[in-house]
Amino acid sequence: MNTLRAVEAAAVCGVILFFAGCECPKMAREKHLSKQKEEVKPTALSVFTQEVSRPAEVEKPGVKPEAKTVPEKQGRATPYEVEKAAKDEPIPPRKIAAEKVFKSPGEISRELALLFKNIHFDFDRYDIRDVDVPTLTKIGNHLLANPSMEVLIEGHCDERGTREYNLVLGEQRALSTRRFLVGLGVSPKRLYTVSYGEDMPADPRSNEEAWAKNRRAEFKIAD
Amino acid sequence: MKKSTFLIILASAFFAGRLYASSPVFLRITKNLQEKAEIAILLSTGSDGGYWDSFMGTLSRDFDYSGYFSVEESKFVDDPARAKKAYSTQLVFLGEKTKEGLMVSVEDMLDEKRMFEKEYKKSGTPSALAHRICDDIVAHLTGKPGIASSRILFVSGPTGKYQLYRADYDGENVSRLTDAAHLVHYPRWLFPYEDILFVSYRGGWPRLVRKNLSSGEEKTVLAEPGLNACASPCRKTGEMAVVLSRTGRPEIYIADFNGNILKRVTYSNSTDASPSFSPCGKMIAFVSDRHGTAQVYTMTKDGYRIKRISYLSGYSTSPAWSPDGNYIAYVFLRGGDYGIALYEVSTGETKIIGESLGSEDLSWAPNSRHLVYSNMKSSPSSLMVLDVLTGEKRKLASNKLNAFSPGWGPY
Repeated sequence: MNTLRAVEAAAVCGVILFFAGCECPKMAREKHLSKQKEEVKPTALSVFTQEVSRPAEVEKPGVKPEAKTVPEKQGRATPYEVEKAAKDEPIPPRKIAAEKVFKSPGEISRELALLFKNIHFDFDRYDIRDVDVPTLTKIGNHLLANPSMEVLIEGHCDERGTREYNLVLGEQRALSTRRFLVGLGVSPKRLYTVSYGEDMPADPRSNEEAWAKNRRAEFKIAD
Repeated sequence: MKKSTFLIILASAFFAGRLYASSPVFLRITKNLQEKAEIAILLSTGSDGGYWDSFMGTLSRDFDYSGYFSVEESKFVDDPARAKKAYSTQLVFLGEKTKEGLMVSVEDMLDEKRMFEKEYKKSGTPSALAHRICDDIVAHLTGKPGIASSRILFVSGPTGKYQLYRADYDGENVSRLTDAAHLVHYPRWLFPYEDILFVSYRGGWPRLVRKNLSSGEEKTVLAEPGLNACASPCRKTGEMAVVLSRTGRPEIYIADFNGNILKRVTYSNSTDASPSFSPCGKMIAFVSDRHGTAQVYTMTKDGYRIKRISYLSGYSTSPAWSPDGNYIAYVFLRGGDYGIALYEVSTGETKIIGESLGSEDLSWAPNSRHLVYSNMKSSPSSLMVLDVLTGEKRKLASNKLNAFSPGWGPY
């Protein structure tokens, strides 16, 4: 009799456990993944991607500073990304940027207009072309010779390509131009960037010639 | 004692299983959602100036635009309850004017059953009343949200001098929302239809701004150094995915609606742009060129399990996750022109729902069935609404402005 009761009790418990206890495989996978995250040790990538703490005077009203710093554990970076990741070049703080008035080089002097020419990009690309390297090198040398000069690099796209992606592509063009100049030794604190996407074309026509002109990085100089 | 305990436990275990919701009544009528139910609209006569004429016209269009109905007839009759017998349509809409407004009922002529009944007060404009009634009927019959009361944001203006606008979902009632001297762009609803999020170049740099449409108050949400754009809010979690370039590269971040940056999500050297949060807030669809060309990917909101989902051409962008979480719509470039494709999240299947549309931007309607896109090939560029199930397109009415960058959701 006792054995029968024990068997019954076991069966009942089994049924309850079956309905209450089983975990959906998705949840189990996610738990496992989050456990994995916690176990991973910091890698080399964390050094490069550490957020630069902004100076105290740059407190913008209405925008709270970041609540926490980037977590140390960057385990997801692949060896490829660790190898290829360039050092981050943080953009100059906005409050300081907003106080500057940037003019087109032609408004300041003819020599500057000849020096700070637009550079152009291939469709859907933001790498600096070989033909533009001499122009950028001359600009870089001029900036090194004039350490107080500050420059705004504008990134633009042609009208092809979708709008929002072009906004980011324009940003990439401005940033890669800036990265080239930083590579020459120019301080990143003097180089400001902005992207206008496809919204400020140099040539409003819709043909190859116009599009090639519009895929550009333009320079403006702080007065 | 033992037997009854055992039975009680079994019974409770049985009920602990999933409860199946009763399926909406309408699906019984049309099993294939592409088929439309024929409906006749009968409104009782009575003087009231042009109010009811306008109401009738809007209601008829609303039923048509919902995609579920085909309006066979819409007329004023003396006694709708008696006149309905003359109609052989599947459904009949009856509107009996009352002292305060309208008594609305929808009857199924085949089953001879009243499917919907509600009294409405005559308040607001005739089109607002018609939109409300259509939405209520659609929700009741199909279980899915109606779109008639929804509103679409868009951008218009000559190149480089844009302003933000809002229109009803049918293109009527266009109103301008901004009067900016600087560039404003990429409007999205933050809280439909009260708060919007957009990119503003006030101060010279793109910042993310939030504006309340009743008070007109604008508040800067994100103004980090560099780019602040591509915001995709998720109302369920109160978080938004944004693109910031403050570290020197554009990357995707998660921030809350007040502009507190919570987490950086992408770390690769490639371009990562156009995030679109899933409605549950756990996944993000985005565009990346990490494998050479601009393609659409999905990842968890922590940046894990990055998976490419677009394989149609060398350029796919503008992902938009549907409000019901089932689909990701995106734009692909093929043969020099843009088309729209739909990726089904659960199965991984992709379906092309339109080619050579000139579509550049996408936004979903609340019913996860309609999409609005901007046709950049027309002159002026126009907003088109596309029914994903039937492939039907309609141009937003009375829209003479060049319009692009539409925001119908997110929801």
